[in-house]
Amino acid sequence: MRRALAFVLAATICGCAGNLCLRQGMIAVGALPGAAPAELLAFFAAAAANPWIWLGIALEIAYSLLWLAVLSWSEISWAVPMNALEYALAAAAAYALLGEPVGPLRLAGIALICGGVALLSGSWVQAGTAADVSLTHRI
Amino acid sequence: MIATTCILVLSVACSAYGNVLTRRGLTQLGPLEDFRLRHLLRYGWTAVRNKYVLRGVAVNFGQFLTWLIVLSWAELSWALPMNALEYLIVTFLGWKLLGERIEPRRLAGIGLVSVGVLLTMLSWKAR
Repeated sequence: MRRALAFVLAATICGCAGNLCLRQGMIAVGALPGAAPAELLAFFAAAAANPWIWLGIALEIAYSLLWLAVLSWSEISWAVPMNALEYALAAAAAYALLGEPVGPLRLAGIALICGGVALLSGSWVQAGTAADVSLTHRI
Repeated sequence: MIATTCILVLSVACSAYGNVLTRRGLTQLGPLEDFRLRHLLRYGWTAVRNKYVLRGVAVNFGQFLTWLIVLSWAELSWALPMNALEYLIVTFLGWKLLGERIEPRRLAGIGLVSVGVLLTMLSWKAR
């Protein structure tokens, strides 16, 4: 569990930094004006030309690799909610770096999310492998 | 805000389903235990050839594209916590498709997280 927790922490830090970069890039790209094919194409082309987007993508790839390791050890109903650790990090960083306001309501929401994550972390069970997990459903 | 929320829900659903597919593939591979580079590379190579992992990666790419659209419209401190909707979806799918046992403590944690998501959503101010 400690190893999984450490990897989740490292992954959320990468994910949070990645999202900050992506949002920084999307501020430069501007809001998607409409859903016409030409508009979508120009939108994604502008995104692909932005260095912040590429830095964000690199960090998201690091996140994905760490996440892959976590998913090899842990049940998804344990690991996925752990991503909420990112919210506390992101709210602090978005406030400090992007100047986004964080009011009392949002702060309360983030606090509840963190409390929920603390409860969840105590519910770790050693996840099974293919041998003892039912894999009969088609998905 | 309605358009933003719709795309966001689509993005979250892709993320949840991608996690289910990836976890199923990695369950077939077994847990990663050896961190030597050669073994890591071999594990990664086996993972990307697994059809569930591959499908999971494809679904997650859809999540990335829709997420970029959301980020062009919304503040990060609003958009990011909305991803917590994924926990509800993942818990259900984990129980239903992967045979995970959901004990009361885990359910309580998910409940708290969900209320937190609701509060965060209420803090949205029209752009």
